[in-house]
Amino acid sequence: MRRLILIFSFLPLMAVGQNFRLHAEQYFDHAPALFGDRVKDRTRWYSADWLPIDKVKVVGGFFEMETQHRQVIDDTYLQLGDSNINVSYGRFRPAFGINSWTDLWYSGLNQLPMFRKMLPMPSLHRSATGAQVSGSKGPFQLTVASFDRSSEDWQLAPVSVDDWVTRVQYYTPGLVLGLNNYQGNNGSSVINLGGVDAIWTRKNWQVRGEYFGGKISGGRNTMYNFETFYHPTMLPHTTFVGRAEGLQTGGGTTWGQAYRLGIKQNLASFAAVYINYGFSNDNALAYIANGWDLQVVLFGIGP
Amino acid sequence: MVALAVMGLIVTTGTTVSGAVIEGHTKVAGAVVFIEGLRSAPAPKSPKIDQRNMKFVPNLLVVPSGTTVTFPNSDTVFHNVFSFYNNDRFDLGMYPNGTKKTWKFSKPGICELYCNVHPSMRARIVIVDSTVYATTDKNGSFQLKDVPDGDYTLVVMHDKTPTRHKLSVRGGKYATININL
Repeated sequence: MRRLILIFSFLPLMAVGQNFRLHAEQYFDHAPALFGDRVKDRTRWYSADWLPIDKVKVVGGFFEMETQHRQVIDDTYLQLGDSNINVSYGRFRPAFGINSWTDLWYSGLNQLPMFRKMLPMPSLHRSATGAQVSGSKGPFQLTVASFDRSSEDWQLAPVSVDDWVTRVQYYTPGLVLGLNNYQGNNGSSVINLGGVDAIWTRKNWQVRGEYFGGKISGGRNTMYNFETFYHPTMLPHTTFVGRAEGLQTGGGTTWGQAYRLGIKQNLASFAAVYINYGFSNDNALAYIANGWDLQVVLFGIGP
Repeated sequence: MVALAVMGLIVTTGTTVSGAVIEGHTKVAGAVVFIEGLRSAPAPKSPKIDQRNMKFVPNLLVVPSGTTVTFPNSDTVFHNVFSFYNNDRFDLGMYPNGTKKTWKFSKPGICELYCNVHPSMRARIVIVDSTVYATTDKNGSFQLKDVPDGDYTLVVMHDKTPTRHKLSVRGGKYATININL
């Protein structure tokens, strides 16, 4: 907690600036089998953005998982540049697939896709430390990140650079396409993964999907995740959500498969509730929770 | 009883109309004031509502009907812009950082904007049949410039309920209008 106070004590100083924004979110979960039995869990997430001068951005963030008594630094980095080209250094979520914080946690689906929880790739959903360069030209965007996959919860700079992620994104109205490559070797495991992702939207519908394949620690792996969102005109603050995902690991022939249906209801500008029903086969990762689960999210953005 | 008043309406040398909007004893900020049907001023060239730091900026925009508004995404995350209100129902779909979408607002009225991903993002576009309009400041004050001499209907929109007031503009004349609803 002392480290937490030390790191975030600079936030009030930032607040005197005009270009300062603080985000605070709380997630209340009531889910079966997440930690062995039905539990009530709470996660707090805080993030601050500060733009002291043109083309300089400072981001700080952390989250706290109450049930696990765990505090983790989230995106915390210095970024130089603009949307045409920028360089980030510090702790960030490497660009592999559909991966921003809001892509993962504002979807109305209470759990992450299985492959983002699969070891040895925790950096795909949790921040890693290193550097990332991103540039865009017309409809194309290229992002290259090199990072320390084994970053500890409170690590802000890489100890060693083991892994590289490259992503090329193409946008045309109604469709976002991504090509992804992950090459890593931290001495204990080797990762060679590639794949595609896509987001298609039309009127009230959005469909997005990810498909990756390659070797992790010598074994062949295949993984997919498809999600559908529909918000009806008559219920503009309600979104019906669905997911189908599969995972084949270690060169095996069996698929771990999981499915999830739910509703995301935006209650107000500061609150939303996600209700999901999930089911899976026996080969799905143990992380997957079956049955009903409920998540209430409170948002706060200021000043 | 809600009292809405257009106070101290001053018609100066025939070109600028000044005044203030109050509700009861409270100065009303963010009210939209326009002269109905008057299109004497040029329309705005490229009005936009940015999506920045998980906010619509600005969160209130007034445009004449027939105007195309641009919605750039300046955040690093995907956004969409949708409105299912009034007759202008649209959803611009998901689009990434550095890109933008547009929508032409044809019918006068109020359009509430949302992002389906981020509930905290909300904005309002007021589409008016006029090119002479203003938004009241924190003191409830407004200015309408370049008003030719004539008899008009002045419309005040606040909390979706428009109120209409007669307005006569004669060069160098002074007028005060108090209206209670």
